[in-house]
Amino acid sequence: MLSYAVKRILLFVPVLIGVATVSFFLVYVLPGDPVLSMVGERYDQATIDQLRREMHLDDPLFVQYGHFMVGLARLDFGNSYVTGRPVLESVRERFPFTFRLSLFAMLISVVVGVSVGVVAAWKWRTAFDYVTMGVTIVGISMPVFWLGVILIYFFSMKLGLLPPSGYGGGSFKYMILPAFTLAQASTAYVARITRSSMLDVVHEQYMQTARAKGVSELRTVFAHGLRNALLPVVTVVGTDFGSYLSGAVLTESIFAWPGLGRFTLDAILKRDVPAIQGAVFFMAVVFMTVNLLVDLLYAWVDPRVKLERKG
Amino acid sequence: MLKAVVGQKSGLVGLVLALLVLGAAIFAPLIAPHDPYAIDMNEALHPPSYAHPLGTDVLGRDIMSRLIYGARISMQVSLTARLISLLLGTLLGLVGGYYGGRLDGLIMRLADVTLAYPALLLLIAVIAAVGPSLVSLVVALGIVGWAGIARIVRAQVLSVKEREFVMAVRSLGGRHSGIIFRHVLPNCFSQLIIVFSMGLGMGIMAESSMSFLGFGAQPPTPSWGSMISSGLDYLRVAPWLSLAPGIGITLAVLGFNLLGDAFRDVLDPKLRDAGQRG
Repeated sequence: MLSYAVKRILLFVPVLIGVATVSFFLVYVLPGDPVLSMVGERYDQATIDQLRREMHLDDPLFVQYGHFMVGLARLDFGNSYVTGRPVLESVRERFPFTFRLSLFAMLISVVVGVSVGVVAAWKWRTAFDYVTMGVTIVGISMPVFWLGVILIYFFSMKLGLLPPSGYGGGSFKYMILPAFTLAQASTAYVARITRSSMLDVVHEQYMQTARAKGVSELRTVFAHGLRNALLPVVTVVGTDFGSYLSGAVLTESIFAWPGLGRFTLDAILKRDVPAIQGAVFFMAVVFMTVNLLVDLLYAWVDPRVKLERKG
Repeated sequence: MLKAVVGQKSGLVGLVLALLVLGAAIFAPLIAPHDPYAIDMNEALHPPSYAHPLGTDVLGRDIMSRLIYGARISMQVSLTARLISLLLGTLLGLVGGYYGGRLDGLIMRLADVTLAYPALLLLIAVIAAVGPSLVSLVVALGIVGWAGIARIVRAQVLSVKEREFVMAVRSLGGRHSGIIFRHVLPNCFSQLIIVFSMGLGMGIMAESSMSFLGFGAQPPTPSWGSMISSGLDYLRVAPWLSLAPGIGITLAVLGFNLLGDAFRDVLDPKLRDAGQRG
Protein backbone atom coordinates (compact mmCIF):
# COMPACT_ATOMS: atom_id res chain seq x y z
CA MET A 1 0.00 0.00 0.00
CA LEU A 2 2.69 2.46 1.05
CA SER A 3 4.82 1.94 -2.03
CA TYR A 4 1.77 2.28 -4.26
CA ALA A 5 0.83 5.52 -2.53
CA VAL A 6 4.37 6.89 -2.82
CA LYS A 7 4.50 5.99 -6.48
CA ARG A 8 1.19 7.67 -7.21
CA ILE A 9 2.20 10.80 -5.31
CA LEU A 10 5.58 10.99 -7.05
CA LEU A 11 3.81 10.75 -10.40
CA PHE A 12 1.70 13.71 -9.31
CA VAL A 13 4.66 16.11 -9.45
CA PRO A 14 5.58 15.93 -13.17
CA VAL A 15 1.90 16.08 -14.11
CA LEU A 16 1.51 19.14 -11.92
CA ILE A 17 4.40 20.87 -13.69
CA GLY A 18 2.90 19.86 -17.02
CA VAL A 19 -0.46 21.28 -16.06
CA ALA A 20 1.12 24.56 -14.94
CA THR A 21 3.01 24.78 -18.23
CA VAL A 22 -0.05 24.10 -20.34
CA SER A 23 -2.09 26.59 -18.31
CA PHE A 24 0.56 29.23 -18.95
CA PHE A 25 0.97 28.75 -22.69
CA LEU A 26 -2.69 28.24 -23.37
CA VAL A 27 -3.51 31.63 -22.00
CA TYR A 28 -0.35 33.24 -23.30
CA VAL A 29 -1.57 32.94 -26.86
CA LEU A 30 -4.83 34.74 -26.04
CA PRO A 31 -5.44 37.43 -28.63
CA GLY A 32 -5.74 41.09 -27.64
CA ASP A 33 -3.51 43.43 -25.68
CA PRO A 34 -4.28 43.42 -21.94
CA VAL A 35 -2.66 46.83 -21.43
CA LEU A 36 -4.84 48.52 -24.02
CA SER A 37 -7.94 47.02 -22.50
CA MET A 38 -6.80 48.26 -19.07
CA VAL A 39 -6.14 51.88 -19.93
CA GLY A 40 -9.05 52.12 -22.31
CA GLU A 41 -9.55 54.91 -24.85
CA ARG A 42 -7.54 57.78 -23.40
CA TYR A 43 -4.14 56.19 -23.41
CA ASP A 44 -0.78 57.84 -23.71
CA GLN A 45 2.25 55.90 -24.82
CA ALA A 46 4.30 56.57 -21.66
CA THR A 47 1.71 55.03 -19.37
CA ILE A 48 1.38 52.03 -21.64
CA ASP A 49 5.11 51.46 -21.76
CA GLN A 50 5.33 51.71 -17.99
CA LEU A 51 2.45 49.30 -17.48
CA ARG A 52 3.94 46.85 -19.92
CA ARG A 53 7.20 46.93 -17.97
CA GLU A 54 5.42 46.50 -14.64
CA MET A 55 3.48 43.54 -15.92
CA HIS A 56 6.60 41.98 -17.44
CA LEU A 57 4.89 41.86 -20.82
CA ASP A 58 8.04 42.97 -22.64
CA ASP A 59 10.14 40.15 -21.24
CA PRO A 60 11.02 37.24 -23.48
CA LEU A 61 8.60 34.35 -23.38
CA PHE A 62 10.74 32.03 -21.27
CA VAL A 63 11.37 34.76 -18.70
CA GLN A 64 7.63 35.29 -18.36
CA TYR A 65 7.20 31.55 -18.06
CA GLY A 66 9.85 31.36 -15.35
CA HIS A 67 8.16 34.22 -13.57
CA PHE A 68 4.84 32.39 -13.67
CA MET A 69 6.28 29.10 -12.40
CA VAL A 70 8.24 30.74 -9.57
CA GLY A 71 5.09 32.62 -8.63
CA LEU A 72 3.08 29.39 -8.52
CA ALA A 73 5.69 27.74 -6.34
CA ARG A 74 5.24 30.62 -3.90
CA LEU A 75 1.47 30.38 -4.24
CA ASP A 76 1.41 33.72 -5.98
CA PHE A 77 -0.95 33.63 -8.95
CA GLY A 78 -0.33 37.27 -9.86
CA ASN A 79 -2.84 40.11 -9.85
CA SER A 80 -5.99 40.39 -11.89
CA TYR A 81 -5.77 42.79 -14.84
CA VAL A 82 -9.32 43.90 -14.19
CA THR A 83 -9.55 44.37 -10.45
CA GLY A 84 -5.86 44.53 -9.56
CA ARG A 85 -6.47 42.12 -6.69
CA PRO A 86 -4.36 39.00 -6.13
CA VAL A 87 -5.94 36.16 -8.10
CA LEU A 88 -5.46 33.68 -5.28
CA GLU A 89 -7.54 35.91 -3.02
CA SER A 90 -10.46 35.87 -5.48
CA VAL A 91 -10.11 32.12 -6.00
CA ARG A 92 -10.17 31.57 -2.24
CA GLU A 93 -13.24 33.76 -2.00
CA ARG A 94 -15.14 31.94 -4.72
CA PHE A 95 -14.16 28.38 -3.91
CA PRO A 96 -16.41 27.96 -0.83
CA PHE A 97 -19.47 28.70 -3.00
CA THR A 98 -18.51 25.98 -5.42
CA PHE A 99 -17.70 23.67 -2.54
CA ARG A 100 -21.10 24.14 -0.90
CA LEU A 101 -22.95 23.51 -4.13
CA SER A 102 -20.83 20.45 -5.01
CA LEU A 103 -21.24 18.94 -1.58
CA PHE A 104 -25.01 19.26 -1.68
CA ALA A 105 -25.18 17.91 -5.23
CA MET A 106 -23.01 14.95 -4.24
CA LEU A 107 -25.24 14.26 -1.26
CA ILE A 108 -28.27 14.16 -3.55
CA SER A 109 -26.64 11.84 -6.05
CA VAL A 110 -25.39 9.43 -3.39
CA VAL A 111 -28.64 9.25 -1.43
CA VAL A 112 -30.98 9.12 -4.43
CA GLY A 113 -28.66 7.21 -6.75
CA VAL A 114 -27.70 4.47 -4.32
CA SER A 115 -31.24 3.90 -3.06
CA VAL A 116 -32.68 3.74 -6.56
CA GLY A 117 -29.89 1.42 -7.65
CA VAL A 118 -30.32 -0.96 -4.71
CA VAL A 119 -34.08 -1.18 -5.13
CA ALA A 120 -33.72 -1.68 -8.89
CA ALA A 121 -31.30 -4.56 -8.31
CA TRP A 122 -33.51 -6.00 -5.61
CA LYS A 123 -36.57 -5.75 -7.86
CA TRP A 124 -34.54 -6.99 -10.82
CA ARG A 125 -36.55 -7.35 -14.04
CA THR A 126 -39.67 -5.78 -12.60
CA ALA A 127 -41.43 -2.64 -13.79
CA PHE A 128 -39.51 -0.59 -11.24
CA ASP A 129 -36.21 -1.83 -12.61
CA TYR A 130 -37.12 -1.16 -16.24
CA VAL A 131 -38.59 2.29 -15.60
CA THR A 132 -35.70 3.54 -13.45
CA MET A 133 -33.10 2.21 -15.85
CA GLY A 134 -34.92 3.93 -18.72
CA VAL A 135 -35.11 7.18 -16.80
CA THR A 136 -31.46 7.04 -15.78
CA ILE A 137 -30.13 6.45 -19.30
CA VAL A 138 -32.13 9.48 -20.44
CA GLY A 139 -30.77 11.34 -17.42
CA ILE A 140 -27.22 10.63 -18.50
CA SER A 141 -27.97 11.77 -22.05
CA MET A 142 -29.68 15.01 -21.07
CA PRO A 143 -27.58 18.18 -21.17
CA VAL A 144 -27.20 19.65 -17.69
CA PHE A 145 -27.84 23.21 -18.86
CA TRP A 146 -31.12 22.18 -20.45
CA LEU A 147 -32.32 20.53 -17.26
CA GLY A 148 -31.45 23.77 -15.48
CA VAL A 149 -33.60 25.70 -17.94
CA ILE A 150 -36.54 23.30 -17.50
CA LEU A 151 -36.31 23.46 -13.72
CA ILE A 152 -36.22 27.26 -13.81
CA TYR A 153 -39.22 27.30 -16.12
CA PHE A 154 -41.37 25.03 -13.99
CA PHE A 155 -40.30 25.73 -10.43
CA SER A 156 -39.64 29.45 -10.68
CA MET A 157 -41.71 30.78 -13.54
CA LYS A 158 -44.76 28.52 -13.54
CA LEU A 159 -45.07 27.47 -9.91
CA GLY A 160 -43.17 30.36 -8.32
CA LEU A 161 -41.78 28.02 -5.67
CA LEU A 162 -38.06 28.62 -5.93
CA PRO A 163 -35.85 31.53 -6.97
CA PRO A 164 -34.57 31.19 -10.56
CA SER A 165 -30.98 32.25 -9.91
CA GLY A 166 -28.54 34.00 -7.63
CA TYR A 167 -27.07 33.18 -4.27
CA GLY A 168 -29.63 34.86 -2.02
CA GLY A 169 -27.16 35.53 0.78
CA GLY A 170 -26.74 31.84 1.43
CA SER A 171 -30.43 31.01 1.77
CA PHE A 172 -31.03 27.30 1.25
CA LYS A 173 -33.85 27.95 -1.23
CA TYR A 174 -31.37 29.31 -3.74
CA MET A 175 -29.27 26.20 -3.68
CA ILE A 176 -32.00 23.65 -4.44
CA LEU A 177 -32.37 24.11 -8.21
CA PRO A 178 -28.65 24.42 -8.99
CA ALA A 179 -27.81 21.44 -6.80
CA PHE A 180 -30.40 19.18 -8.41
CA THR A 181 -29.29 20.32 -11.85
CA LEU A 182 -25.66 19.60 -11.04
CA ALA A 183 -26.54 16.26 -9.45
CA GLN A 184 -28.62 14.99 -12.38
CA ALA A 185 -26.02 13.12 -14.40
CA SER A 186 -24.18 11.56 -11.49
CA THR A 187 -27.40 10.55 -9.74
CA ALA A 188 -28.41 8.64 -12.86
CA TYR A 189 -24.96 7.18 -13.24
CA VAL A 190 -24.64 6.19 -9.58
CA ALA A 191 -28.02 4.46 -9.76
CA ARG A 192 -26.90 2.41 -12.77
CA ILE A 193 -23.53 1.49 -11.29
CA THR A 194 -25.06 0.58 -7.93
CA ARG A 195 -27.60 -1.63 -9.64
CA SER A 196 -25.15 -3.54 -11.80
CA SER A 197 -22.67 -3.87 -8.99
CA MET A 198 -25.39 -5.15 -6.64
CA LEU A 199 -26.40 -7.68 -9.28
CA ASP A 200 -22.79 -8.84 -9.39
CA VAL A 201 -22.61 -9.55 -5.67
CA VAL A 202 -26.06 -11.08 -5.29
CA HIS A 203 -24.76 -14.48 -6.29
CA GLU A 204 -21.59 -14.35 -4.22
CA GLN A 205 -21.16 -17.09 -1.69
CA TYR A 206 -21.12 -14.80 1.32
CA MET A 207 -24.64 -13.70 0.41
CA GLN A 208 -25.78 -17.32 0.37
CA THR A 209 -23.99 -17.87 3.67
CA ALA A 210 -25.73 -14.91 5.24
CA ARG A 211 -29.11 -16.18 4.08
CA ALA A 212 -28.30 -19.69 5.26
CA LYS A 213 -27.35 -18.31 8.68
CA GLY A 214 -30.85 -16.90 8.89
CA VAL A 215 -29.96 -13.25 8.39
CA SER A 216 -33.05 -11.37 7.21
CA GLU A 217 -33.33 -10.58 3.51
CA LEU A 218 -33.19 -6.83 4.10
CA ARG A 219 -30.07 -7.16 6.22
CA THR A 220 -28.46 -9.46 3.70
CA VAL A 221 -29.02 -6.96 0.91
CA PHE A 222 -27.89 -3.90 2.81
CA ALA A 223 -25.30 -5.07 5.32
CA HIS A 224 -23.66 -7.77 3.23
CA GLY A 225 -24.45 -6.93 -0.37
CA LEU A 226 -24.37 -3.15 -0.49
CA ARG A 227 -21.13 -2.92 1.45
CA ASN A 228 -19.31 -4.86 -1.20
CA ALA A 229 -21.22 -3.39 -4.10
CA LEU A 230 -20.33 0.15 -3.11
CA LEU A 231 -16.70 -0.06 -4.18
CA PRO A 232 -17.24 0.97 -7.82
CA VAL A 233 -19.71 3.58 -6.64
CA VAL A 234 -17.00 5.22 -4.54
CA THR A 235 -14.90 5.82 -7.65
CA VAL A 236 -17.76 7.36 -9.59
CA VAL A 237 -18.81 9.59 -6.73
CA GLY A 238 -15.25 10.67 -6.06
CA THR A 239 -14.45 11.54 -9.67
CA ASP A 240 -17.71 13.42 -10.07
CA PHE A 241 -17.08 15.34 -6.88
CA GLY A 242 -13.70 16.29 -8.29
CA SER A 243 -15.20 17.59 -11.49
CA TYR A 244 -17.91 19.55 -9.64
CA LEU A 245 -15.33 21.14 -7.39
CA SER A 246 -13.29 22.14 -10.39
CA GLY A 247 -16.02 24.47 -11.45
CA ALA A 248 -19.45 23.49 -12.61
CA VAL A 249 -19.19 26.09 -15.35
CA LEU A 250 -22.54 25.35 -16.99
CA THR A 251 -24.63 25.07 -13.84
CA GLU A 252 -23.01 28.07 -12.22
CA SER A 253 -23.52 30.22 -15.27
CA ILE A 254 -27.22 29.35 -15.70
CA PHE A 255 -28.03 30.01 -12.06
CA ALA A 256 -25.65 32.96 -11.66
CA TRP A 257 -24.01 31.07 -8.80
CA PRO A 258 -20.94 33.02 -7.64
CA GLY A 259 -18.57 30.06 -7.68
CA LEU A 260 -15.27 29.30 -9.34
CA GLY A 261 -16.74 28.16 -12.65
CA ARG A 262 -18.55 31.44 -13.11
CA PHE A 263 -15.39 33.29 -12.07
CA THR A 264 -13.34 31.55 -14.75
CA LEU A 265 -15.96 32.16 -17.40
CA ASP A 266 -16.05 35.87 -16.52
CA ALA A 267 -12.26 36.02 -16.57
CA ILE A 268 -12.19 34.45 -20.02
CA LEU A 269 -14.80 36.86 -21.37
CA LYS A 270 -12.79 39.80 -19.97
CA ARG A 271 -9.47 38.32 -21.17
CA ASP A 272 -8.10 38.65 -17.65
CA VAL A 273 -4.99 36.54 -18.25
CA PRO A 274 -3.65 36.07 -14.68
CA ALA A 275 -7.14 35.28 -13.43
CA ILE A 276 -7.66 32.64 -16.13
CA GLN A 277 -4.22 31.11 -15.58
CA GLY A 278 -4.67 31.03 -11.81
CA ALA A 279 -8.21 29.70 -11.86
CA VAL A 280 -7.55 27.07 -14.52
CA PHE A 281 -4.44 25.87 -12.71
CA PHE A 282 -6.21 25.83 -9.35
CA MET A 283 -9.13 23.82 -10.71
CA ALA A 284 -6.89 21.31 -12.44
CA VAL A 285 -5.01 20.83 -9.16
CA VAL A 286 -8.25 20.31 -7.23
CA PHE A 287 -9.44 17.86 -9.88
CA MET A 288 -6.15 15.93 -9.81
CA THR A 289 -5.99 15.88 -6.03
CA VAL A 290 -9.48 14.50 -5.64
CA ASN A 291 -8.76 11.85 -8.28
CA LEU A 292 -5.55 10.90 -6.50
CA LEU A 293 -7.37 10.62 -3.18
CA VAL A 294 -10.06 8.46 -4.79
CA ASP A 295 -7.41 6.14 -6.23
CA LEU A 296 -5.62 5.85 -2.91
CA LEU A 297 -8.87 5.29 -1.04
CA TYR A 298 -9.83 2.63 -3.54
CA ALA A 299 -6.49 0.85 -3.22
CA TRP A 300 -6.81 0.99 0.54
CA VAL A 301 -10.32 -0.43 0.56
CA ASP A 302 -9.65 -3.01 -2.12
CA PRO A 303 -6.09 -4.38 -1.89
CA ARG A 304 -6.48 -6.20 -5.21
CA VAL A 305 -6.21 -2.90 -7.07
CA LYS A 306 -2.58 -2.11 -6.45
CA LEU A 307 -1.51 -5.57 -7.46
CA GLU A 308 -3.31 -5.26 -10.78
CA ARG A 309 -2.00 -1.83 -11.53
CA LYS A 310 1.57 -2.80 -10.86
CA GLY A 311 1.45 -5.17 -13.79
CA MET B 1 -22.19 -8.04 -35.50
CA LEU B 2 -24.92 -5.61 -36.49
CA LYS B 3 -27.43 -8.38 -35.97
CA ALA B 4 -26.26 -8.89 -32.40
CA VAL B 5 -26.42 -5.16 -31.74
CA VAL B 6 -29.96 -4.90 -33.05
CA GLY B 7 -30.85 -8.08 -31.19
CA GLN B 8 -30.74 -6.13 -27.96
CA LYS B 9 -33.79 -3.94 -27.49
CA SER B 10 -31.75 -0.97 -26.33
CA GLY B 11 -29.34 -1.45 -29.21
CA LEU B 12 -32.24 -1.28 -31.65
CA VAL B 13 -33.60 1.91 -30.05
CA GLY B 14 -30.12 3.38 -30.18
CA LEU B 15 -29.67 2.50 -33.81
CA VAL B 16 -33.04 3.99 -34.77
CA LEU B 17 -32.34 7.23 -32.90
CA ALA B 18 -28.85 7.49 -34.32
CA LEU B 19 -30.11 6.90 -37.87
CA LEU B 20 -32.83 9.51 -37.32
CA VAL B 21 -30.27 12.11 -36.30
CA LEU B 22 -27.91 11.12 -39.10
CA GLY B 23 -30.80 11.19 -41.59
CA ALA B 24 -31.84 14.64 -40.43
CA ALA B 25 -28.26 15.81 -40.77
CA ILE B 26 -27.74 14.42 -44.27
CA PHE B 27 -31.14 15.24 -45.75
CA ALA B 28 -31.75 18.52 -43.91
CA PRO B 29 -32.42 20.56 -47.08
CA LEU B 30 -34.98 18.00 -48.25
CA ILE B 31 -36.97 17.51 -45.06
CA ALA B 32 -36.82 20.92 -43.40
CA PRO B 33 -40.19 22.63 -43.96
CA HIS B 34 -38.68 26.13 -44.12
CA ASP B 35 -35.37 27.89 -44.68
CA PRO B 36 -33.66 27.85 -41.26
CA TYR B 37 -32.19 31.31 -41.88
CA ALA B 38 -35.31 32.98 -43.33
CA ILE B 39 -36.32 35.91 -41.16
CA ASP B 40 -39.97 36.93 -41.04
CA MET B 41 -40.75 39.50 -38.37
CA ASN B 42 -44.51 39.09 -38.87
CA GLU B 43 -44.20 35.52 -37.71
CA ALA B 44 -41.98 36.21 -34.68
CA LEU B 45 -42.45 34.17 -31.49
CA HIS B 46 -45.44 32.20 -32.75
CA PRO B 47 -46.31 29.18 -30.62
CA PRO B 48 -46.35 25.75 -32.27
CA SER B 49 -48.90 25.60 -35.08
CA TYR B 50 -49.63 23.64 -38.25
CA ALA B 51 -47.36 25.86 -40.36
CA HIS B 52 -44.62 25.84 -37.71
CA PRO B 53 -44.84 22.55 -35.75
CA LEU B 54 -42.38 23.75 -33.11
CA GLY B 55 -43.14 27.47 -33.31
CA THR B 56 -40.92 30.32 -34.43
CA ASP B 57 -38.12 32.25 -32.75
CA VAL B 58 -37.73 35.95 -32.09
CA LEU B 59 -36.79 36.62 -35.73
CA GLY B 60 -39.68 34.53 -37.03
CA ARG B 61 -37.44 31.65 -38.08
CA ASP B 62 -38.96 28.18 -38.07
CA ILE B 63 -37.72 26.22 -35.04
CA MET B 64 -38.39 22.84 -36.61
CA SER B 65 -36.18 23.65 -39.59
CA ARG B 66 -33.46 25.06 -37.35
CA LEU B 67 -33.63 21.92 -35.25
CA ILE B 68 -33.15 19.73 -38.33
CA TYR B 69 -30.21 21.82 -39.53
CA GLY B 70 -28.90 21.73 -35.95
CA ALA B 71 -28.50 17.97 -36.30
CA ARG B 72 -26.19 18.71 -39.21
CA ILE B 73 -23.98 21.02 -37.11
CA SER B 74 -23.90 18.56 -34.22
CA MET B 75 -23.00 15.58 -36.38
CA GLN B 76 -20.39 17.48 -38.37
CA VAL B 77 -18.64 18.72 -35.26
CA SER B 78 -18.92 15.48 -33.34
CA LEU B 79 -17.86 13.20 -36.21
CA THR B 80 -14.90 15.29 -37.35
CA ALA B 81 -13.69 15.93 -33.81
CA ARG B 82 -13.96 12.27 -32.96
CA LEU B 83 -12.04 11.30 -36.08
CA ILE B 84 -9.24 13.69 -35.12
CA SER B 85 -9.12 12.22 -31.60
CA LEU B 86 -9.17 8.73 -33.00
CA LEU B 87 -6.33 9.42 -35.40
CA LEU B 88 -4.15 11.18 -32.84
CA GLY B 89 -4.97 8.77 -30.03
CA THR B 90 -4.49 5.63 -32.10
CA LEU B 91 -1.21 6.80 -33.58
CA LEU B 92 0.30 7.90 -30.26
CA GLY B 93 -1.06 4.87 -28.42
CA LEU B 94 0.35 2.51 -31.04
CA VAL B 95 3.74 4.14 -31.12
CA GLY B 96 4.00 4.43 -27.33
CA GLY B 97 2.79 0.94 -26.62
CA TYR B 98 4.84 -0.72 -29.33
CA TYR B 99 8.18 0.99 -28.86
CA GLY B 100 7.90 1.58 -25.10
CA GLY B 101 10.77 3.29 -23.34
CA ARG B 102 11.17 7.04 -23.02
CA LEU B 103 8.89 7.89 -25.92
CA ASP B 104 6.12 5.89 -24.29
CA GLY B 105 6.77 7.59 -20.97
CA LEU B 106 6.58 11.00 -22.57
CA ILE B 107 3.35 10.21 -24.41
CA MET B 108 1.71 8.82 -21.30
CA ARG B 109 2.72 11.83 -19.18
CA LEU B 110 1.21 14.04 -21.87
CA ALA B 111 -1.95 11.99 -21.61
CA ASP B 112 -1.89 12.40 -17.83
CA VAL B 113 -1.63 16.17 -18.21
CA THR B 114 -4.50 16.27 -20.71
CA LEU B 115 -6.68 14.15 -18.46
CA ALA B 116 -5.72 16.18 -15.39
CA TYR B 117 -7.96 18.97 -16.63
CA PRO B 118 -11.70 18.83 -16.27
CA ALA B 119 -12.64 18.32 -19.95
CA LEU B 120 -15.02 21.24 -20.39
CA LEU B 121 -12.63 23.64 -18.70
CA LEU B 122 -9.80 22.66 -21.00
CA LEU B 123 -12.09 23.12 -24.00
CA ILE B 124 -13.13 26.58 -22.86
CA ALA B 125 -9.54 27.61 -22.27
CA VAL B 126 -8.44 26.38 -25.71
CA ILE B 127 -11.36 28.08 -27.43
CA ALA B 128 -10.70 31.30 -25.57
CA ALA B 129 -7.16 31.21 -26.86
CA VAL B 130 -7.94 30.59 -30.52
CA GLY B 131 -11.25 32.45 -30.72
CA PRO B 132 -14.74 30.95 -30.82
CA SER B 133 -15.88 29.32 -34.05
CA LEU B 134 -17.09 25.91 -35.12
CA VAL B 135 -13.75 25.09 -36.71
CA SER B 136 -11.78 25.86 -33.58
CA LEU B 137 -14.32 23.88 -31.56
CA VAL B 138 -13.80 20.84 -33.79
CA VAL B 139 -10.03 21.10 -33.49
CA ALA B 140 -10.12 21.68 -29.72
CA LEU B 141 -12.55 18.83 -29.17
CA GLY B 142 -10.42 16.57 -31.34
CA ILE B 143 -7.21 17.40 -29.52
CA VAL B 144 -8.70 17.18 -26.04
CA GLY B 145 -10.10 13.71 -26.77
CA TRP B 146 -6.86 12.01 -27.80
CA ALA B 147 -5.64 10.98 -24.36
CA GLY B 148 -8.35 8.53 -23.41
CA ILE B 149 -8.10 6.77 -26.76
CA ALA B 150 -4.31 6.63 -26.60
CA ARG B 151 -4.48 4.92 -23.22
CA ILE B 152 -6.92 2.29 -24.46
CA VAL B 153 -4.95 1.59 -27.64
CA ARG B 154 -1.69 1.42 -25.73
CA ALA B 155 -3.08 -1.10 -23.25
CA GLN B 156 -4.31 -3.20 -26.15
CA VAL B 157 -0.97 -2.98 -27.93
CA LEU B 158 0.88 -4.07 -24.80
CA SER B 159 -1.20 -7.20 -24.57
CA VAL B 160 -1.07 -8.00 -28.30
CA LYS B 161 2.66 -7.30 -28.63
CA GLU B 162 3.64 -10.32 -26.56
CA ARG B 163 1.35 -12.73 -28.38
CA GLU B 164 2.93 -15.52 -30.37
CA PHE B 165 1.88 -14.42 -33.82
CA VAL B 166 3.59 -11.07 -33.37
CA MET B 167 6.73 -12.79 -32.15
CA ALA B 168 6.53 -15.06 -35.17
CA VAL B 169 6.31 -12.18 -37.65
CA ARG B 170 9.17 -10.43 -35.94
CA SER B 171 11.40 -13.51 -35.97
CA LEU B 172 10.71 -13.83 -39.67
CA GLY B 173 12.14 -10.35 -40.08
CA GLY B 174 8.89 -8.38 -40.39
CA ARG B 175 9.28 -4.61 -40.31
CA HIS B 176 7.99 -2.69 -37.29
CA SER B 177 5.57 -0.58 -39.33
CA GLY B 178 4.20 -3.71 -40.96
CA ILE B 179 3.71 -5.40 -37.61
CA ILE B 180 2.03 -2.33 -36.13
CA PHE B 181 -0.40 -1.70 -38.94
CA ARG B 182 -1.05 -5.21 -40.18
CA HIS B 183 -1.07 -7.18 -36.94
CA VAL B 184 -1.37 -4.98 -33.88
CA LEU B 185 -3.84 -2.37 -35.13
CA PRO B 186 -6.50 -4.80 -36.37
CA ASN B 187 -6.57 -6.25 -32.87
CA CYS B 188 -7.57 -2.87 -31.53
CA PHE B 189 -10.54 -2.45 -33.88
CA SER B 190 -13.29 -3.64 -31.58
CA GLN B 191 -12.04 -1.35 -28.83
CA LEU B 192 -11.92 1.54 -31.26
CA ILE B 193 -15.47 0.96 -32.49
CA ILE B 194 -16.72 1.07 -28.91
CA VAL B 195 -14.77 4.21 -28.06
CA PHE B 196 -15.83 5.91 -31.28
CA SER B 197 -19.56 5.31 -30.92
CA MET B 198 -19.55 6.27 -27.24
CA GLY B 199 -17.56 9.35 -28.08
CA LEU B 200 -20.08 10.57 -30.65
CA GLY B 201 -22.67 11.15 -27.93
CA MET B 202 -20.10 12.96 -25.83
CA GLY B 203 -19.11 15.05 -28.82
CA ILE B 204 -22.71 16.14 -29.42
CA MET B 205 -23.01 17.03 -25.75
CA ALA B 206 -19.75 18.98 -25.82
CA GLU B 207 -20.72 20.87 -28.97
CA SER B 208 -24.06 21.94 -27.54
CA SER B 209 -22.54 22.86 -24.18
CA MET B 210 -19.88 25.00 -25.80
CA SER B 211 -22.35 26.63 -28.18
CA PHE B 212 -24.65 27.26 -25.23
CA LEU B 213 -21.83 29.16 -23.50
CA GLY B 214 -21.10 31.08 -26.70
CA PHE B 215 -17.82 29.31 -27.48
CA GLY B 216 -19.06 27.26 -30.41
CA ALA B 217 -21.42 28.01 -33.25
CA GLN B 218 -21.99 31.73 -33.73
CA PRO B 219 -25.30 33.27 -34.80
CA PRO B 220 -27.11 32.82 -37.08
CA THR B 221 -25.86 29.21 -37.33
CA PRO B 222 -28.62 26.93 -36.02
CA SER B 223 -26.82 24.94 -33.29
CA TRP B 224 -28.91 23.23 -30.61
CA GLY B 225 -26.85 24.68 -27.78
CA SER B 226 -26.98 28.27 -28.99
CA MET B 227 -30.71 27.92 -29.73
CA ILE B 228 -31.29 27.05 -26.08
CA SER B 229 -29.25 29.98 -24.83
CA SER B 230 -30.85 32.50 -27.18
CA GLY B 231 -34.27 31.27 -26.08
CA LEU B 232 -33.49 32.00 -22.43
CA ASP B 233 -34.52 35.66 -22.64
CA TYR B 234 -37.99 34.61 -23.79
CA LEU B 235 -38.39 31.61 -21.51
CA ARG B 236 -41.47 33.05 -19.84
CA VAL B 237 -43.34 33.98 -23.01
CA ALA B 238 -42.00 31.44 -25.50
CA PRO B 239 -40.65 28.38 -23.65
CA TRP B 240 -40.60 26.27 -26.84
CA LEU B 241 -37.54 28.21 -28.01
CA SER B 242 -35.38 26.56 -25.37
CA LEU B 243 -37.32 23.37 -24.78
CA ALA B 244 -37.36 22.00 -28.33
CA PRO B 245 -33.59 21.98 -29.00
CA GLY B 246 -32.98 20.21 -25.68
CA ILE B 247 -35.14 17.32 -26.82
CA GLY B 248 -33.02 17.11 -29.96
CA ILE B 249 -29.80 16.94 -27.94
CA THR B 250 -31.17 14.40 -25.49
CA LEU B 251 -32.46 12.06 -28.21
CA ALA B 252 -29.24 12.30 -30.22
CA VAL B 253 -26.98 11.68 -27.22
CA LEU B 254 -29.27 8.93 -25.98
CA GLY B 255 -29.15 7.24 -29.37
CA PHE B 256 -25.36 7.15 -29.55
CA ASN B 257 -25.05 6.17 -25.88
CA LEU B 258 -27.36 3.19 -26.36
CA LEU B 259 -25.63 2.25 -29.58
CA GLY B 260 -22.23 2.49 -27.90
CA ASP B 261 -23.46 0.34 -25.00
CA ALA B 262 -24.77 -2.26 -27.42
CA PHE B 263 -21.51 -2.36 -29.37
CA ARG B 264 -19.63 -2.75 -26.13
CA ASP B 265 -21.85 -5.57 -24.88
CA VAL B 266 -21.41 -7.41 -28.15
CA LEU B 267 -17.72 -6.75 -28.76
CA ASP B 268 -16.33 -6.68 -25.26
CA PRO B 269 -18.66 -7.71 -22.45
CA LYS B 270 -15.88 -7.21 -19.91
CA LEU B 271 -16.12 -3.48 -20.29
CA ARG B 272 -19.68 -3.30 -19.00
CA ASP B 273 -20.32 0.05 -17.27
CA ALA B 274 -16.77 1.16 -17.85
CA GLY B 275 -17.26 3.73 -20.52
CA GLN B 276 -20.68 5.30 -20.45
CA ARG B 277 -19.02 8.60 -19.98
CA GLY B 278 -15.64 7.69 -21.35
